[in-house]
Formats: sequence, structure tokens, C-alpha cells
Amino acid sequence: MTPDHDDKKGDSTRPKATPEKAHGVLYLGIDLGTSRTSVASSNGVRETVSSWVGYPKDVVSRKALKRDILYGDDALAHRLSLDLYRPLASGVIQHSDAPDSAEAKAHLKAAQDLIRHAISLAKPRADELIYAVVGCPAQCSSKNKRAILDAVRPVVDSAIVASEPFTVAYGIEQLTDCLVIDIGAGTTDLCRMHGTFPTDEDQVTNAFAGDHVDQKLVELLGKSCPGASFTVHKVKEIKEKFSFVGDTRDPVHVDLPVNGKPTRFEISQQMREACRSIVPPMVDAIHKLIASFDSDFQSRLKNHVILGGGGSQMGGLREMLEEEMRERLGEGRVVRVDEPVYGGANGALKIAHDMPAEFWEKLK
Amino acid sequence: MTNPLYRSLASLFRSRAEVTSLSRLDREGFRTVNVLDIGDLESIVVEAVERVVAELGPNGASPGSLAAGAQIELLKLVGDTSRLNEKNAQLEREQKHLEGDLSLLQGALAESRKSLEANIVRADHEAMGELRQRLESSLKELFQRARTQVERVAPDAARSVDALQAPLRDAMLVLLSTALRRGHVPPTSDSEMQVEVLERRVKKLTAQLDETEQLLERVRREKSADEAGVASIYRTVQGLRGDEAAVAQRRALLHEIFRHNLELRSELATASPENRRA
Repeated sequence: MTPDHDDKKGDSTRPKATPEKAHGVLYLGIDLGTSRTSVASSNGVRETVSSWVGYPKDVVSRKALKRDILYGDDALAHRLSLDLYRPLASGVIQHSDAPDSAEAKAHLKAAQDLIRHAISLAKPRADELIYAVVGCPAQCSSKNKRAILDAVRPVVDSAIVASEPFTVAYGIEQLTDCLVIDIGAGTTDLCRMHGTFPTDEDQVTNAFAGDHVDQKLVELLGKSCPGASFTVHKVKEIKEKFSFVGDTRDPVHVDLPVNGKPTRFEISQQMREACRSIVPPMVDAIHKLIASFDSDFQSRLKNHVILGGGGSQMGGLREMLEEEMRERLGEGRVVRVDEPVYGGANGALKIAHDMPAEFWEKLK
Repeated sequence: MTNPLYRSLASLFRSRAEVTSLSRLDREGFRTVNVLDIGDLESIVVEAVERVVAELGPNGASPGSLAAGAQIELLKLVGDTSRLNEKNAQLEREQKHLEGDLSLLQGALAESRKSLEANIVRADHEAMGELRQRLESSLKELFQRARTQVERVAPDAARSVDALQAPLRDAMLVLLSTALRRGHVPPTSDSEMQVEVLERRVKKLTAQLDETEQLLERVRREKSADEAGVASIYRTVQGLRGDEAAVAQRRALLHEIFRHNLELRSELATASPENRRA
């Protein structure tokens, strides 16, 4: 039972349907990520959901699950009864290169449902204007941005899309001479901030991010844990708990089933190797963005690198990047945002707040 | 900080808190931790208690009801909807039990009252029968003597004396019956004691049920408010005030974002299904 492309049943929170909007303005900042979608709002609600959308496979599943659409970990937990979608991959809506294909339409529908769900998590009131800023990957195509806008606009009064690393920088008020690195699941986005709106030359995106680490870890565990059975979901769960890149760390022990029997494996080396696999491409990208920057300001940029996104939580990453930068660029200072999971959503919320009223009006 | 709750709660939190290290949390996979100052915790708890005391306190609510009300307010303040739902389910179960118990008790009370009334009626009936007999025999004797004396003086008037006997007896019987009911002695029999006990239990259960319903209403008010959405802190559109740091730079950046989105929007309008069809 794939999603019905014209179906609007999941659209249960459609504030536009109510004509009266006299009671206030709700700002929403949404971070639409490959792995997680987070929302921060001006009513104090902050929520995050893993970016899975599931539709019951058949009538029997629908009756058993008592819902038409499941989201996040709930969808993952019932994946055997669902047609499961993770609408974004490598920072774009999946299959969007062939927009007329059934797969592209299904993923687009799932993305739209996910965005609507994220908005509903913010508990908007029907009598308030809703102005939303959606953060999307740095090199998201215009086509994908339009698709995101298309999904958001029916459920809000006015919507804006903005580059994810830019929203992170805006949120922490670091708009000049800094380098923002947003490590997501699908992509790692790097963005050079120099006081003006970043252009394509200021941004680098690569696919060495969380999903890459998961795949690498699957490969390494396959070799080093004979007979163990595991899925990529399980490996992701293990990574989120134990990821690190440093040389010293307490041993990582996990229980994996071998012939149905839980068996303990020590996987510190594999974890380190998998996590480290994203570091060299990241350092290459840092090098590229710094080397191509005005030489008088390169030092400032090197000493002002900001890490955000779920991947920035890897133990020892900040220290390792500083070490690599010192080796290759002579110096380097890296800081991590306080709230990696909500960094993008917080920044998008701040942009929404600061955006003048006439801009919102014109974008309605 | 004059409220004694502040001091006691602070020490309570400290004594019950589990002390752990950041490295241990890291080992256990916790990467971010929300830190809540103990002063904030105290003020949340105190606010929860104050809210419920303000509403329930003057009505003579039981300590249990006040505690449950404070728990509900605390769950609301910290936004723990799952535990609020659990509390709602628990109160609904309690309400059902209380309603069941109350219904049984009310049935038993009605039976006991009926039996007591039957006993009273029977006792009244027996007493009245005895009184009637004695009244009739007394009246008969009195009227016999009066008739004899009247016949001696005026033989024609004897019949008139006879005619007075029946109305007088009826009037006296009514008076006796009223006096018997008014002068009913306080309950002492087993059935009367049972009725009293049942009445007390019904009263207590009804009060408990009222309190449970109030608590349920308290939870449901929050749920309906939750379903209606959470209000934004802003009444009007904000925008930059003009006194922020790097305001000109921010304005320029926001303008760029706007311009880019305006372009996207016009592309979206061009690519809309209506236009595609056209």
C-alpha cells in the first residue's frame, strides 16, 4: 500500500482552513534532515523525530496498526508491516532526478507527510499565523527546495527555505569569518561565512557522513564478528551510542546474536575505523575552503571552525580535527555547538523571528 | 524564599539525586544532557502545589486529593504528556471502581431503608391496633355512662350522645397516630444501625468520587488545551528591532534569503499543476 499521491488524509493540522488568525504569530524552525527532523517553535515546543515514514502494506496491517501513516522510530519498529520510506538521501529527496517515476512520487509524498508531521509536533494553534523557516542541505537543488516549499506551504501561512549550515551559523550569531561544518546522516555540509550570503563557492557538500559510517561499520563487523547477525538499523543504534574517533577510549562491547544466541563482541577498533572514515574528506573540504579564502582572513577562519549536526557528537572529533588542521594548515581551533540536534532548527527559528513582516507577507 | 517548601525540596532533590560523572554518561551513550537548576525545579514544584492549593485547599479537599492534584500540575508544568495520560487512565479506573462501589452501597442502603420503613410501619400498625382497642373500649364505657345519665334527664337526647361517639373516636385516632409518628424513638435496632453505617459510607464514597472527578477534569482541561495547541509567545510579527549587533549585515542576509525564496516561489507558481495543464 504505497502512499496515495493525492491523499491529504495525513494533513490533520491544516491551520489555513480556519479564517481567523487574530491571536498571535507562531514561528517555526525546521531542520529537515536525512536521519532526523527537528522542529523548534516560538511556543517553546521542541521536538525531534527520526526521518522515517511508513504506510501500512495492506488493509490487514492498517487495521492492526490503526493508523494510515507512522513516523520516526514508531515506523521503524513496525517496518515489517509497512512500506517504509526515508524520504531524503544524500541531502535530497530520493529519486528526484526522475521526478515522474513512481518511486520519486512516493518519496516526495513521504517527505511532505514528514514535514507536516514535524509541524504538527510543534502543536500549532488554529488561530495563530504560522511562519516557518525550513533548513535544507547546503547543495539541495532548486527542484528539491521547491518540493519542500510545496509540502510546507499548505500547512503554514508563509514559508522560507534556507541552507542548513547557514541556519546553524545564524542561530549562534556567527556570521563573519567562520567555517560551519554540519555533519548529518546523508551529507556533511561545510559553509564559509564571511558576512554576506554564502554562494556555491562558499559551500562544500560530501556524502561522508553518518550513513557512510553505518555502512563502513556494517562492512567491518561483517568481517570481524563471524556468525553475528545484525541490520544496518542495529549498527546505527550502536554507533549513536558508542561513536568515537580518538585513540583512547573504554572498550566498546556489544551483544550480537550468533545462531540466535546473544554473543559479546569487542568492537572498539572497528568503531574507531568506521568513524574516522569521514575525517579525511572533511579535512580536505576544510583545507579547500580555507585555502581559497582571502589570505588576509584565513587565520581567522582556521581558528573559528564550528561543528554542528548529529555527527558532531562523535567522541574526540573536535580534537582530531584540530590536530589534522594543525598538521595541514598550521593552526586550527574547533568548537561544537551546544545543541547539535537542534542547532539547525534553533537557527531557522531565529531567522523566522528576525525576518521582516513585509517579507513574510510577500511570500504568502 | 520564605516558603518552607523551598528548603525541604532542595534537600530532598539532593538526597535522591543519583551522582554520576560526565565520562560515565558518555560511556553510556548520552551525548547531550538537559541541565535544570535546582532553583528552577523548586519553583516548578512550588508552583504546582500553589496552583492546586489555590483551587482545592479552601474546599476542604482530602490530603490524597491535594497530593494527586499537585502531581497532575507538576506533570503539566514539565510537559510529561505520557505520564499525564497514565494518570488520566488511573483516575478513570478509580472513578469506575468508585462508581461501582457507590452503586452497590446505594442498592444496599435502599434495601435497608425499605426494610426499616417496613419495620416501622409494622410497629406503628401494631401500636395503633392496641391503642385503637383501648380507645374504643374506654370510649364505649364513657359513652355508656354518659348515655345513662342523659337518659335520666332528657330521654330524647340520648341518641345525640350516641352520634358523637364515632366522630370523636376518629378524631382521637388521627391525633394518636400523629403523636405516635412524632414521638418515634431514636434508632436502636440492627437495621437502623446498618442504615446509618451505610449512609456514612455512601457520603464518604460520594465525596471521594467528587474528588476523583475533579482530578479527572484537571487532567482533561490540560488535554483539551494540548489538543487546541500551545500558544506562541508572540502576538505580532517581530523582525529585527534595530539595536541588535551587526544589524545591517543581518538585514542584508535576510534580504538575500527573501530574494532567493521569492525566485523559488515564482518557479513554483510556474511549475504548478494548473500551469502545466495550461
